Amino acid sequence: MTTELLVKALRWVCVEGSVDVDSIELIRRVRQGDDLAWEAFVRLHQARVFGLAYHTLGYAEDARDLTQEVFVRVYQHLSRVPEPEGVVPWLVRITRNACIDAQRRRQARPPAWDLPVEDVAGPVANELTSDESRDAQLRKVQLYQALRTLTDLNREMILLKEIHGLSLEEIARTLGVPLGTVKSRANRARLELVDKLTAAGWGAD
Amino acid sequence: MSPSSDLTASILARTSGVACPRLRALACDAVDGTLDAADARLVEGHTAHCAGCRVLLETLRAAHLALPTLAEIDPGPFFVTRVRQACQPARKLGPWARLLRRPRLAMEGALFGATLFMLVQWVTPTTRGVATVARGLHSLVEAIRVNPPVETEPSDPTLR
Repeated sequence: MTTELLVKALRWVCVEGSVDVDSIELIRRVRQGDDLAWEAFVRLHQARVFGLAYHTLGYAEDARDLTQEVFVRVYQHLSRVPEPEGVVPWLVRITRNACIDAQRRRQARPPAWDLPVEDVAGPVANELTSDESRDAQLRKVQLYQALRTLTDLNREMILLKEIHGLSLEEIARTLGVPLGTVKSRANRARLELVDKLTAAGWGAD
Repeated sequence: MSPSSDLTASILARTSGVACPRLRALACDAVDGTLDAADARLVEGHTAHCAGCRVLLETLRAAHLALPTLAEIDPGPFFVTRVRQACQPARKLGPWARLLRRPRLAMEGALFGATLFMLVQWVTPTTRGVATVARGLHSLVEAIRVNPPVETEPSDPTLR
């Protein structure tokens, strides 16, 4: 129960935008051997890491394996958490690199059998709550489908900037490209997404 | 379309062309609120008369608000247990043990051993190696002396 309360409190802090301070405190306690702190850290960030992996790879089981791999890597390199930069951009960078490795592996050695086609909305459909109106749910699924049809480059920009809320400077640091390039790429990606959404019927009402 | 907007359209058609591409370039900044006041007023003025650009801005705004809801997806009920189990071996093993579990360690060890063997042979090539070769030659000569090779007739008549 205490852990759940801690997680809820941390989620609230996350929304308020000062998550990194508390994540770093959790990391400090994990280094001292506090298993509860590690569990709280995993619970706090798992949905974000899984979301990024799932949107990038497109398969839930692959994304689950990759998310696990990311957390094991974090656990093995606790001393490398960059405090000034913050935990979230660091996690995003690790996840992104792991996704690139996974995609390269898949291209080099494609699976011997066809991967089963997942439900169009996949795990996103599970996230829909009964509290949301039917219209809101439909829009969420449409948004997810439009995101899946973007080019890899544009989807990555939308993921980092719009979905995970990284600043342009953080994205430039993560991708290793100039700030101006990031800005123009982000704008292009957003406009491509809007074109897809308009074609799907957004803005018609 | 009112007469004034009709007139504007015909004037624009004969001068600069429509301003929609310019609005498209400013649309993201307009939604993010990072436009300066003058540009913001121009954007507002254009969208008041252009339905297409109004839809573009509204869709951009709606997507901007809705996209963060896709950030977090629940990986499933047993995920934390799975991560904790995966982290157990990582914690038990020390850095040396982890090094020993590297997948290419056997190959690296074999390579190191072979290199070491070749180095030793190169540094002390003579005594033992030469003695071995001499013993081998001596054995061969002895074997030939005891059992000399016998001349045999070729069995194939065409070879006679």
